Amino acid sequence: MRQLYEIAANTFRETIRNQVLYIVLFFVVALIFLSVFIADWSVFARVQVMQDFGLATMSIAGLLLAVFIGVGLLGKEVGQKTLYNVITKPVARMFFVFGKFFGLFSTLIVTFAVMSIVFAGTVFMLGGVLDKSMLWAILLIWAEMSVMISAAVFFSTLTSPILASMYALVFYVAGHLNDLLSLKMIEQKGSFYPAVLKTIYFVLPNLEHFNIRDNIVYNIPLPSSYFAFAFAYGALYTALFLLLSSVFFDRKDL
Amino acid sequence: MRLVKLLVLVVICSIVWILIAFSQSKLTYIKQNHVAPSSMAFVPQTDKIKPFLMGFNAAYADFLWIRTTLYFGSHVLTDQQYPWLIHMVDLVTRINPNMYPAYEFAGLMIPDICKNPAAARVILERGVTTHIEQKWKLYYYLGMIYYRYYNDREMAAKCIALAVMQKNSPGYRLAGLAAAMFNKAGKPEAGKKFLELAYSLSENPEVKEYILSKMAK
Repeated sequence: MRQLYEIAANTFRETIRNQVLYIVLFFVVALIFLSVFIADWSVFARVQVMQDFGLATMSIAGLLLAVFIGVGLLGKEVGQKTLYNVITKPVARMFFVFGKFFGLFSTLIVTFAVMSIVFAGTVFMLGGVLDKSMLWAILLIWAEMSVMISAAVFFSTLTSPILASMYALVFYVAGHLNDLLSLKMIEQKGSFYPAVLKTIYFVLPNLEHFNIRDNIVYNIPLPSSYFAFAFAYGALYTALFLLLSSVFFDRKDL
Repeated sequence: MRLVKLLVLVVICSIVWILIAFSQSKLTYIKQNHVAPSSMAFVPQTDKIKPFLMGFNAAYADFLWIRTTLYFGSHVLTDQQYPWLIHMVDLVTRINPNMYPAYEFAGLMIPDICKNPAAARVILERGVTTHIEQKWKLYYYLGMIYYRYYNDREMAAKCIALAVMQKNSPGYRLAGLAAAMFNKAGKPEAGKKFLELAYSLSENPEVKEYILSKMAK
Protein backbone atom coordinates (compact mmCIF):
# COMPACT_ATOMS: atom_id res chain seq x y z
CA MET A 1 0.00 0.00 0.00
CA ARG A 2 2.90 2.31 0.72
CA GLN A 3 4.11 1.80 -2.85
CA LEU A 4 0.68 2.63 -4.19
CA TYR A 5 0.53 5.81 -2.11
CA GLU A 6 4.02 6.90 -3.21
CA ILE A 7 3.23 6.40 -6.91
CA ALA A 8 -0.12 8.22 -6.53
CA ALA A 9 1.48 11.13 -4.65
CA ASN A 10 4.24 11.39 -7.23
CA THR A 11 1.70 11.34 -10.06
CA PHE A 12 -0.31 14.03 -8.26
CA ARG A 13 2.80 16.24 -7.99
CA GLU A 14 3.63 15.56 -11.64
CA THR A 15 0.14 16.24 -13.04
CA ILE A 16 -0.55 19.28 -10.90
CA ARG A 17 2.41 20.94 -12.66
CA ASN A 18 1.05 20.03 -16.09
CA GLN A 19 0.36 23.14 -18.17
CA VAL A 20 -2.54 21.47 -20.00
CA LEU A 21 -4.38 21.31 -16.70
CA TYR A 22 -4.15 25.06 -16.19
CA ILE A 23 -5.06 25.85 -19.79
CA VAL A 24 -8.19 23.69 -19.56
CA LEU A 25 -8.99 25.10 -16.12
CA PHE A 26 -8.63 28.65 -17.42
CA PHE A 27 -10.94 28.01 -20.37
CA VAL A 28 -13.53 26.22 -18.27
CA VAL A 29 -13.61 29.00 -15.67
CA ALA A 30 -13.87 31.57 -18.48
CA LEU A 31 -16.68 29.60 -20.13
CA ILE A 32 -18.57 29.28 -16.86
CA PHE A 33 -18.36 33.06 -16.44
CA LEU A 34 -19.38 33.56 -20.06
CA SER A 35 -22.35 31.27 -19.58
CA VAL A 36 -24.02 34.22 -17.83
CA PHE A 37 -24.26 35.89 -21.25
CA ILE A 38 -25.18 32.65 -23.00
CA ALA A 39 -28.00 32.20 -20.50
CA ASP A 40 -29.21 35.64 -21.51
CA TRP A 41 -29.93 34.25 -24.99
CA SER A 42 -32.63 32.04 -23.65
CA VAL A 43 -36.17 33.27 -23.74
CA PHE A 44 -37.54 31.32 -20.84
CA ALA A 45 -35.07 30.16 -18.24
CA ARG A 46 -31.76 31.95 -17.76
CA VAL A 47 -30.59 30.15 -14.64
CA GLN A 48 -31.45 26.72 -16.00
CA VAL A 49 -29.60 27.35 -19.24
CA MET A 50 -26.59 28.59 -17.30
CA GLN A 51 -26.67 25.52 -15.05
CA ASP A 52 -26.91 23.18 -18.01
CA PHE A 53 -24.15 24.95 -19.89
CA GLY A 54 -21.87 25.04 -16.85
CA LEU A 55 -22.32 21.34 -16.08
CA ALA A 56 -21.80 20.40 -19.73
CA THR A 57 -18.60 22.48 -19.79
CA MET A 58 -17.34 20.64 -16.74
CA SER A 59 -18.13 17.29 -18.30
CA ILE A 60 -16.22 18.18 -21.46
CA ALA A 61 -13.34 19.49 -19.37
CA GLY A 62 -13.23 16.08 -17.69
CA LEU A 63 -12.96 14.46 -21.08
CA LEU A 64 -10.19 16.79 -22.25
CA LEU A 65 -8.16 16.29 -19.10
CA ALA A 66 -8.65 12.54 -19.16
CA VAL A 67 -7.55 12.41 -22.79
CA PHE A 68 -4.65 14.85 -22.71
CA ILE A 69 -3.23 13.92 -19.32
CA GLY A 70 -4.61 10.42 -18.69
CA VAL A 71 -3.40 8.95 -21.96
CA GLY A 72 0.09 10.41 -21.51
CA LEU A 73 0.46 9.00 -18.00
CA LEU A 74 1.83 5.62 -19.05
CA GLY A 75 2.87 6.52 -22.58
CA LYS A 76 5.20 9.28 -21.39
CA GLU A 77 6.76 7.03 -18.75
CA VAL A 78 7.48 4.40 -21.38
CA GLY A 79 8.63 6.92 -23.99
CA GLN A 80 10.99 8.77 -21.67
CA LYS A 81 12.10 5.49 -20.11
CA THR A 82 11.43 6.87 -16.59
CA LEU A 83 9.30 3.80 -16.06
CA TYR A 84 12.40 1.64 -15.62
CA ASN A 85 13.33 3.50 -12.43
CA VAL A 86 10.17 2.12 -10.91
CA ILE A 87 9.69 -1.34 -12.38
CA THR A 88 13.26 -2.39 -11.70
CA LYS A 89 12.41 -2.03 -8.02
CA PRO A 90 10.17 -4.53 -6.23
CA VAL A 91 6.96 -2.76 -7.28
CA ALA A 92 4.08 -4.68 -8.78
CA ARG A 93 3.07 -3.31 -12.16
CA MET A 94 -0.53 -3.38 -10.99
CA PHE A 95 0.34 -0.87 -8.27
CA PHE A 96 1.98 1.31 -10.86
CA VAL A 97 -1.23 1.44 -12.95
CA PHE A 98 -3.45 1.96 -9.92
CA GLY A 99 -1.10 4.58 -8.48
CA LYS A 100 -1.08 6.52 -11.73
CA PHE A 101 -4.88 6.44 -11.81
CA PHE A 102 -5.33 7.61 -8.22
CA GLY A 103 -2.71 10.33 -8.66
CA LEU A 104 -4.45 11.82 -11.68
CA PHE A 105 -7.88 11.37 -10.14
CA SER A 106 -6.76 13.35 -7.07
CA THR A 107 -5.44 16.13 -9.32
CA LEU A 108 -8.71 16.30 -11.20
CA ILE A 109 -10.72 16.33 -7.99
CA VAL A 110 -8.78 19.43 -6.91
CA THR A 111 -9.27 21.01 -10.36
CA PHE A 112 -12.97 20.19 -10.40
CA ALA A 113 -13.38 21.58 -6.90
CA VAL A 114 -12.13 24.93 -8.27
CA MET A 115 -14.50 24.69 -11.24
CA SER A 116 -17.40 23.77 -8.95
CA ILE A 117 -16.78 26.78 -6.71
CA VAL A 118 -16.74 29.10 -9.73
CA PHE A 119 -19.86 27.40 -11.08
CA ALA A 120 -21.68 27.68 -7.76
CA GLY A 121 -20.70 31.35 -7.48
CA THR A 122 -22.01 32.08 -10.97
CA VAL A 123 -25.31 30.29 -10.33
CA PHE A 124 -25.67 32.22 -7.09
CA MET A 125 -24.90 35.47 -8.91
CA LEU A 126 -27.74 34.81 -11.36
CA GLY A 127 -30.14 34.29 -8.49
CA GLY A 128 -30.21 30.51 -8.74
CA VAL A 129 -30.48 28.17 -5.80
CA LEU A 130 -27.68 25.78 -4.99
CA ASP A 131 -29.60 22.70 -4.04
CA LYS A 132 -28.73 19.07 -3.40
CA SER A 133 -29.41 18.00 -6.99
CA MET A 134 -26.67 20.34 -8.22
CA LEU A 135 -24.19 18.70 -5.87
CA TRP A 136 -25.26 15.27 -7.13
CA ALA A 137 -24.80 16.45 -10.71
CA ILE A 138 -21.23 17.57 -9.96
CA LEU A 139 -20.44 14.34 -8.11
CA LEU A 140 -21.75 12.33 -11.05
CA ILE A 141 -19.44 14.27 -13.37
CA TRP A 142 -16.60 13.15 -11.10
CA ALA A 143 -17.80 9.57 -11.43
CA GLU A 144 -17.88 9.94 -15.21
CA MET A 145 -14.41 11.42 -15.11
CA SER A 146 -13.19 8.44 -13.13
CA VAL A 147 -14.51 6.08 -15.84
CA MET A 148 -12.93 8.25 -18.53
CA ILE A 149 -9.51 8.32 -16.85
CA SER A 150 -9.54 4.56 -16.30
CA ALA A 151 -10.56 4.06 -19.95
CA ALA A 152 -7.76 6.39 -21.08
CA VAL A 153 -5.26 4.46 -18.94
CA PHE A 154 -6.60 1.21 -20.37
CA PHE A 155 -6.20 2.41 -23.97
CA SER A 156 -2.72 3.72 -23.24
CA THR A 157 -1.65 0.24 -22.10
CA LEU A 158 -2.80 -1.16 -25.44
CA THR A 159 -1.47 1.28 -28.00
CA SER A 160 0.42 4.51 -28.72
CA PRO A 161 -0.65 7.75 -26.98
CA ILE A 162 -2.10 9.28 -30.17
CA LEU A 163 -4.26 6.24 -30.94
CA ALA A 164 -5.20 5.95 -27.27
CA SER A 165 -6.39 9.58 -27.32
CA MET A 166 -8.54 8.86 -30.35
CA TYR A 167 -9.97 5.73 -28.75
CA ALA A 168 -10.76 7.69 -25.60
CA LEU A 169 -12.59 10.35 -27.61
CA VAL A 170 -14.57 7.72 -29.53
CA PHE A 171 -15.29 5.96 -26.24
CA TYR A 172 -16.72 9.20 -24.82
CA VAL A 173 -18.94 9.83 -27.85
CA ALA A 174 -20.09 6.20 -28.02
CA GLY A 175 -20.77 6.21 -24.29
CA HIS A 176 -23.05 9.20 -24.63
CA LEU A 177 -24.78 7.82 -27.71
CA ASN A 178 -25.37 4.51 -26.00
CA ASP A 179 -28.47 5.99 -24.45
CA LEU A 180 -29.96 6.32 -27.91
CA LEU A 181 -29.31 2.63 -28.48
CA SER A 182 -31.70 1.76 -25.69
CA LEU A 183 -34.42 3.79 -27.36
CA LYS A 184 -33.78 2.20 -30.73
CA MET A 185 -33.79 -1.19 -29.06
CA ILE A 186 -37.33 -0.67 -27.90
CA GLU A 187 -38.44 0.63 -31.27
CA GLN A 188 -37.01 -2.21 -33.34
CA LYS A 189 -39.00 -5.25 -34.30
CA GLY A 190 -37.66 -8.77 -34.84
CA SER A 191 -35.15 -10.67 -32.74
CA PHE A 192 -31.65 -10.46 -34.24
CA TYR A 193 -31.20 -6.70 -34.40
CA PRO A 194 -32.48 -6.01 -30.88
CA ALA A 195 -30.17 -8.76 -29.56
CA VAL A 196 -27.14 -7.11 -31.19
CA LEU A 197 -28.16 -3.69 -29.90
CA LYS A 198 -28.76 -5.09 -26.45
CA THR A 199 -25.27 -6.60 -26.38
CA ILE A 200 -23.72 -3.29 -27.47
CA TYR A 201 -25.82 -1.51 -24.88
CA PHE A 202 -24.49 -3.67 -22.07
CA VAL A 203 -20.89 -3.91 -23.28
CA LEU A 204 -20.40 -0.19 -23.79
CA PRO A 205 -20.78 2.01 -20.74
CA ASN A 206 -23.71 4.35 -20.84
CA LEU A 207 -22.17 7.65 -19.86
CA GLU A 208 -25.60 9.29 -20.04
CA HIS A 209 -26.28 7.73 -16.64
CA PHE A 210 -23.92 10.34 -15.24
CA ASN A 211 -25.81 13.14 -16.93
CA ILE A 212 -28.72 14.45 -14.90
CA ARG A 213 -28.67 17.96 -16.35
CA ASP A 214 -32.18 17.65 -17.83
CA ASN A 215 -33.54 16.61 -14.45
CA ILE A 216 -31.96 19.65 -12.82
CA VAL A 217 -33.13 22.05 -15.51
CA TYR A 218 -36.73 20.79 -15.38
CA ASN A 219 -36.66 20.15 -11.66
CA ILE A 220 -37.41 16.43 -11.85
CA PRO A 221 -35.96 14.88 -8.70
CA LEU A 222 -34.32 11.48 -8.96
CA PRO A 223 -34.51 8.95 -6.12
CA SER A 224 -31.41 8.44 -3.99
CA SER A 225 -31.22 4.84 -5.25
CA TYR A 226 -30.39 6.28 -8.67
CA PHE A 227 -27.28 8.00 -7.30
CA ALA A 228 -26.26 4.89 -5.40
CA PHE A 229 -26.50 2.79 -8.57
CA ALA A 230 -24.80 5.46 -10.67
CA PHE A 231 -21.80 5.65 -8.33
CA ALA A 232 -21.64 1.86 -8.14
CA TYR A 233 -21.83 1.74 -11.93
CA GLY A 234 -18.95 4.22 -12.27
CA ALA A 235 -16.87 2.43 -9.66
CA LEU A 236 -17.42 -0.96 -11.31
CA TYR A 237 -16.45 0.29 -14.76
CA THR A 238 -13.40 2.02 -13.31
CA ALA A 239 -12.42 -1.18 -11.51
CA LEU A 240 -12.93 -3.24 -14.65
CA PHE A 241 -10.80 -0.93 -16.79
CA LEU A 242 -8.06 -0.73 -14.17
CA LEU A 243 -8.06 -4.48 -13.78
CA LEU A 244 -7.76 -5.01 -17.51
CA SER A 245 -5.12 -2.26 -17.74
CA SER A 246 -3.08 -4.02 -15.06
CA VAL A 247 -3.32 -7.32 -16.90
CA PHE A 248 -2.25 -5.81 -20.21
CA PHE A 249 0.47 -3.70 -18.63
CA ASP A 250 1.76 -6.73 -16.74
CA ARG A 251 2.13 -8.67 -19.96
CA LYS A 252 3.63 -5.78 -21.88
CA ASP A 253 7.16 -6.35 -23.09
CA LEU A 254 8.94 -3.22 -21.90
CA MET B 1 -0.48 -21.73 -12.86
CA ARG B 2 -0.93 -19.34 -15.73
CA LEU B 3 -4.22 -21.01 -16.64
CA VAL B 4 -5.46 -20.63 -13.06
CA LYS B 5 -4.55 -16.94 -13.13
CA LEU B 6 -6.40 -16.51 -16.39
CA LEU B 7 -9.40 -18.35 -15.01
CA VAL B 8 -9.46 -16.16 -11.91
CA LEU B 9 -9.25 -13.07 -14.09
CA VAL B 10 -12.13 -14.24 -16.29
CA VAL B 11 -14.24 -15.03 -13.23
CA ILE B 12 -13.54 -11.62 -11.65
CA CYS B 13 -14.25 -9.78 -14.92
CA SER B 14 -17.48 -11.75 -15.38
CA ILE B 15 -18.67 -10.92 -11.87
CA VAL B 16 -17.86 -7.24 -12.37
CA TRP B 17 -19.60 -7.26 -15.73
CA ILE B 18 -22.72 -8.91 -14.28
CA LEU B 19 -22.81 -6.24 -11.58
CA ILE B 20 -22.36 -3.56 -14.26
CA ALA B 21 -25.24 -5.00 -16.31
CA PHE B 22 -27.40 -5.10 -13.19
CA SER B 23 -26.63 -1.45 -12.35
CA GLN B 24 -27.15 -0.49 -16.00
CA SER B 25 -30.63 -2.06 -16.03
CA LYS B 26 -31.56 -0.44 -12.73
CA LEU B 27 -30.35 3.00 -13.85
CA THR B 28 -32.18 2.73 -17.17
CA TYR B 29 -35.36 1.68 -15.38
CA ILE B 30 -35.19 4.53 -12.84
CA LYS B 31 -34.35 7.14 -15.46
CA GLN B 32 -37.19 6.04 -17.76
CA ASN B 33 -39.63 7.05 -15.03
CA HIS B 34 -38.01 10.44 -14.56
CA VAL B 35 -37.74 11.70 -18.10
CA ALA B 36 -37.70 15.44 -18.67
CA PRO B 37 -40.61 16.64 -20.83
CA SER B 38 -40.03 17.83 -24.35
CA SER B 39 -39.65 21.54 -23.95
CA MET B 40 -38.33 24.69 -25.49
CA ALA B 41 -36.36 26.10 -22.56
CA PHE B 42 -33.35 26.51 -24.78
CA VAL B 43 -35.07 28.48 -27.46
CA PRO B 44 -32.89 31.53 -27.84
CA GLN B 45 -33.89 35.10 -28.46
CA THR B 46 -33.62 35.93 -32.16
CA ASP B 47 -31.51 39.06 -31.88
CA LYS B 48 -29.05 37.29 -29.59
CA ILE B 49 -28.59 34.17 -31.64
CA LYS B 50 -28.51 35.64 -35.16
CA PRO B 51 -24.88 36.89 -35.13
CA PHE B 52 -23.72 33.45 -33.99
CA LEU B 53 -25.43 31.50 -36.75
CA MET B 54 -22.65 32.50 -39.16
CA GLY B 55 -24.94 32.29 -42.17
CA PHE B 56 -26.52 28.98 -41.21
CA ASN B 57 -29.85 30.69 -40.63
CA ALA B 58 -31.83 28.36 -42.87
CA ALA B 59 -30.32 25.25 -41.32
CA TYR B 60 -30.99 26.48 -37.81
CA ALA B 61 -34.52 27.50 -38.77
CA ASP B 62 -35.09 24.01 -40.19
CA PHE B 63 -33.90 22.48 -36.94
CA LEU B 64 -36.17 24.74 -34.90
CA TRP B 65 -39.04 24.01 -37.24
CA ILE B 66 -38.62 20.27 -36.66
CA ARG B 67 -38.62 20.88 -32.91
CA THR B 68 -41.72 23.03 -33.26
CA THR B 69 -43.63 20.35 -35.11
CA LEU B 70 -42.49 17.73 -32.57
CA TYR B 71 -43.59 20.00 -29.75
CA PHE B 72 -46.93 20.61 -31.41
CA GLY B 73 -47.45 16.92 -32.16
CA SER B 74 -46.61 15.78 -28.64
CA HIS B 75 -49.00 18.31 -27.07
CA VAL B 76 -51.83 17.64 -29.51
CA LEU B 77 -51.81 14.07 -28.26
CA THR B 78 -51.59 15.00 -24.57
CA ASP B 79 -52.60 18.22 -22.80
CA GLN B 80 -53.41 20.34 -25.88
CA GLN B 81 -51.66 23.32 -24.31
CA TYR B 82 -49.14 25.20 -26.45
CA PRO B 83 -47.61 28.03 -24.44
CA TRP B 84 -44.46 28.25 -26.59
CA LEU B 85 -45.87 27.58 -30.01
CA ILE B 86 -46.34 31.19 -31.08
CA HIS B 87 -42.86 32.13 -30.01
CA MET B 88 -41.40 29.15 -31.86
CA VAL B 89 -43.18 29.92 -35.12
CA ASP B 90 -42.28 33.58 -34.78
CA LEU B 91 -38.64 32.68 -34.18
CA VAL B 92 -38.48 30.31 -37.15
CA THR B 93 -39.90 32.97 -39.48
CA ARG B 94 -37.56 35.63 -38.12
CA ILE B 95 -34.47 33.47 -38.56
CA ASN B 96 -35.51 32.31 -42.01
CA PRO B 97 -38.07 34.81 -43.38
CA ASN B 98 -38.67 32.64 -46.47
CA MET B 99 -39.87 29.59 -44.56
CA TYR B 100 -43.30 29.16 -46.08
CA PRO B 101 -44.59 26.18 -43.98
CA ALA B 102 -44.17 28.22 -40.79
CA TYR B 103 -46.29 31.06 -42.20
CA GLU B 104 -48.93 28.61 -43.39
CA PHE B 105 -48.95 27.02 -39.95
CA ALA B 106 -49.31 30.47 -38.37
CA GLY B 107 -52.22 31.33 -40.65
CA LEU B 108 -54.11 28.07 -40.22
CA MET B 109 -53.37 26.86 -36.71
CA ILE B 110 -52.38 29.69 -34.37
CA PRO B 111 -55.67 31.64 -34.47
CA ASP B 112 -57.66 28.60 -33.42
CA ILE B 113 -55.48 26.40 -31.28
CA CYS B 114 -53.62 29.19 -29.47
CA LYS B 115 -56.68 31.48 -29.49
CA ASN B 116 -54.43 34.27 -30.66
CA PRO B 117 -55.37 35.63 -34.10
CA ALA B 118 -53.32 38.78 -33.41
CA ALA B 119 -50.10 36.74 -33.26
CA ALA B 120 -50.97 34.96 -36.49
CA ARG B 121 -51.78 38.31 -38.14
CA VAL B 122 -48.42 39.80 -37.10
CA ILE B 123 -46.50 36.78 -38.43
CA LEU B 124 -48.43 36.79 -41.71
CA GLU B 125 -48.03 40.54 -42.15
CA ARG B 126 -44.31 39.97 -41.90
CA GLY B 127 -44.53 37.03 -44.28
CA VAL B 128 -46.12 39.05 -47.09
CA THR B 129 -43.07 41.32 -47.19
CA THR B 130 -40.83 38.38 -48.21
CA HIS B 131 -40.26 36.74 -51.56
CA ILE B 132 -42.25 33.56 -51.11
CA GLU B 133 -43.63 31.82 -54.19
CA GLN B 134 -47.03 31.19 -52.66
CA LYS B 135 -47.44 34.66 -51.22
CA TRP B 136 -51.05 34.79 -52.36
CA LYS B 137 -51.89 32.19 -49.73
CA LEU B 138 -50.48 34.39 -46.98
CA TYR B 139 -52.70 37.27 -48.13
CA TYR B 140 -55.60 34.85 -48.30
CA TYR B 141 -55.03 33.61 -44.71
CA LEU B 142 -54.62 37.20 -43.57
CA GLY B 143 -57.91 38.12 -45.23
CA MET B 144 -59.62 35.20 -43.53
CA ILE B 145 -58.25 36.24 -40.14
CA TYR B 146 -59.60 39.78 -40.62
CA TYR B 147 -62.91 38.41 -41.77
CA ARG B 148 -63.39 35.74 -39.13
CA TYR B 149 -61.73 37.10 -36.00
CA TYR B 150 -61.78 40.89 -36.46
CA ASN B 151 -65.05 41.09 -38.41
CA ASP B 152 -63.28 43.70 -40.56
CA ARG B 153 -64.74 42.90 -43.99
CA GLU B 154 -63.13 45.77 -45.79
CA MET B 155 -59.65 44.82 -44.63
CA ALA B 156 -60.42 41.19 -45.43
CA ALA B 157 -61.52 42.17 -48.94
CA LYS B 158 -58.35 44.24 -49.41
CA CYS B 159 -56.20 41.30 -48.38
CA ILE B 160 -58.01 38.96 -50.76
CA ALA B 161 -57.67 41.60 -53.47
CA LEU B 162 -53.93 41.67 -52.86
CA ALA B 163 -53.89 37.86 -53.00
CA VAL B 164 -55.49 38.02 -56.48
CA MET B 165 -52.63 40.17 -57.72
CA GLN B 166 -49.91 37.78 -56.59
CA LYS B 167 -48.12 35.31 -58.82
CA ASN B 168 -49.63 31.78 -59.03
CA SER B 169 -52.90 32.83 -57.39
CA PRO B 170 -56.13 31.15 -58.56
CA GLY B 171 -57.16 34.56 -59.89
CA TYR B 172 -60.79 34.32 -60.86
CA ARG B 173 -61.85 32.40 -57.75
CA LEU B 174 -60.19 34.84 -55.42
CA ALA B 175 -61.42 37.82 -57.41
CA GLY B 176 -64.96 36.54 -56.93
CA LEU B 177 -64.34 36.17 -53.22
CA ALA B 178 -62.86 39.67 -53.00
CA ALA B 179 -65.87 41.05 -54.83
CA ALA B 180 -68.25 39.31 -52.42
CA MET B 181 -66.33 40.68 -49.45
CA PHE B 182 -66.32 44.21 -50.83
CA ASN B 183 -70.06 43.94 -51.35
CA LYS B 184 -70.51 42.79 -47.74
CA ALA B 185 -68.29 45.65 -46.58
CA GLY B 186 -70.64 48.06 -48.32
CA LYS B 187 -68.34 48.88 -51.24
CA PRO B 188 -70.14 47.46 -54.29
CA GLU B 189 -68.05 49.54 -56.71
CA ALA B 190 -64.84 47.87 -55.62
CA GLY B 191 -66.68 44.55 -55.69
CA LYS B 192 -67.75 45.15 -59.28
CA LYS B 193 -64.18 45.93 -60.24
CA PHE B 194 -63.06 42.58 -58.90
CA LEU B 195 -65.82 40.73 -60.65
CA GLU B 196 -64.63 42.33 -63.92
CA LEU B 197 -61.13 41.23 -63.04
CA ALA B 198 -62.35 37.71 -62.31
CA TYR B 199 -64.16 37.69 -65.65
CA SER B 200 -61.01 38.72 -67.52
CA LEU B 201 -58.85 36.21 -65.67
CA SER B 202 -61.10 33.22 -66.15
CA GLU B 203 -60.81 31.03 -69.26
CA ASN B 204 -63.70 28.77 -68.37
CA PRO B 205 -66.92 29.79 -70.23
CA GLU B 206 -69.14 28.43 -67.46
CA VAL B 207 -67.29 30.49 -64.86
CA LYS B 208 -67.48 33.54 -67.13
CA GLU B 209 -71.25 33.07 -67.44
CA TYR B 210 -71.55 32.73 -63.66
CA ILE B 211 -69.55 35.93 -63.10
CA LEU B 212 -71.70 37.79 -65.63
CA SER B 213 -74.82 36.73 -63.76
CA LYS B 214 -73.26 37.94 -60.49
CA MET B 215 -72.36 41.28 -62.11
CA ALA B 216 -75.91 41.66 -63.39
CA LYS B 217 -77.19 41.30 -59.79
